[in-house]
Amino acid sequence: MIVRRRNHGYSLIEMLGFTAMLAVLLNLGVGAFLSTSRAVAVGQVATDNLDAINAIRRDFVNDVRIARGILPRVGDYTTGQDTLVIEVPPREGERRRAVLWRRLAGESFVARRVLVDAGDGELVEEHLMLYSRPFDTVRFTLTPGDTPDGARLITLTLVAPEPKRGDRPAAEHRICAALRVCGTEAAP
Amino acid sequence: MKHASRRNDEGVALLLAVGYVFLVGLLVAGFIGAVHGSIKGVTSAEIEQQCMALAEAGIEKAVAEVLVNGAAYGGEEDTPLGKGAFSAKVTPTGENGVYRIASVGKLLSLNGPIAERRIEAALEVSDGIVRSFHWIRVTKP
Repeated sequence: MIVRRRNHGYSLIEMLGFTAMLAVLLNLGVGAFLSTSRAVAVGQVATDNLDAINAIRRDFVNDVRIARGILPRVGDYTTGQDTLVIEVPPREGERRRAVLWRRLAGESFVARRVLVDAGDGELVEEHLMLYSRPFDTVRFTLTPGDTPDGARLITLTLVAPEPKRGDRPAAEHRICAALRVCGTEAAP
Repeated sequence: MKHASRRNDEGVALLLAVGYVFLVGLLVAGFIGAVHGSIKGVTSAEIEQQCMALAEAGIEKAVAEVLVNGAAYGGEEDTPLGKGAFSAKVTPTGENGVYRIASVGKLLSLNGPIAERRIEAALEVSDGIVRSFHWIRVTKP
């Protein structure tokens, strides 16, 4: 009698109960998995942004601290809200060395260019560094006066793109660096 | 007798299934907890970085001011910068052109400061040029 009952399989009630339990567990599991995946993606972006900002901070602060002054203009580049040109000490065999900070034209990546005058009076690009993360805002603020003349403090504002999760605001980072000398050098 | 023994075994499968589901649930919950802990770590690193940047801004502002104004610049209180503020205090050490700078950076929310960092630095200035500059310590006030 018992053997026959077992061969009949599960009852409808058992199957309904099992299906309901499976649905609840799947719902919980998939929900948790999706939320964790989203959190991992947001965390990865935040980590990448932190790494990029740290690299930018290190190079930017170092450049400003060794700078001789802010240059109003070099070639096609004019110091302003989106561009910063500073003169740094030349290395052996160079007449002049300048560093240009700006957002890459048409893109959102921060670029650092090193321009060198090896003796012929023309500043040519020696090195280009592109930082790995895009930014919605890259802005330079000169204090006091907002012009290269007399400015001593430079603030670089970086705003990372809005994360996809709505509960976390876009992070705004400001990096300040002061020139270690008074006054500005004349432009070429 | 045989019939009674089989009836006693009938609940074991259910207990095993419940135990198995509980164990798997525990593992999944542990994994999710670990992931969320790591995300929280990234968030606090971001807060720490912004806070340090604010404190460093106070130091840099003080350096810029001391270069021009010397000992006449004593510091400033709660200067807003982005989503926070910094306070800087400049103290002449007594040696000519040597200063001690203390700066506190606060990251603010609507409910008040989220985090604070304090940086102390030593600065030596002469003829409008920084001769030496170094951080002494970073603390959480």
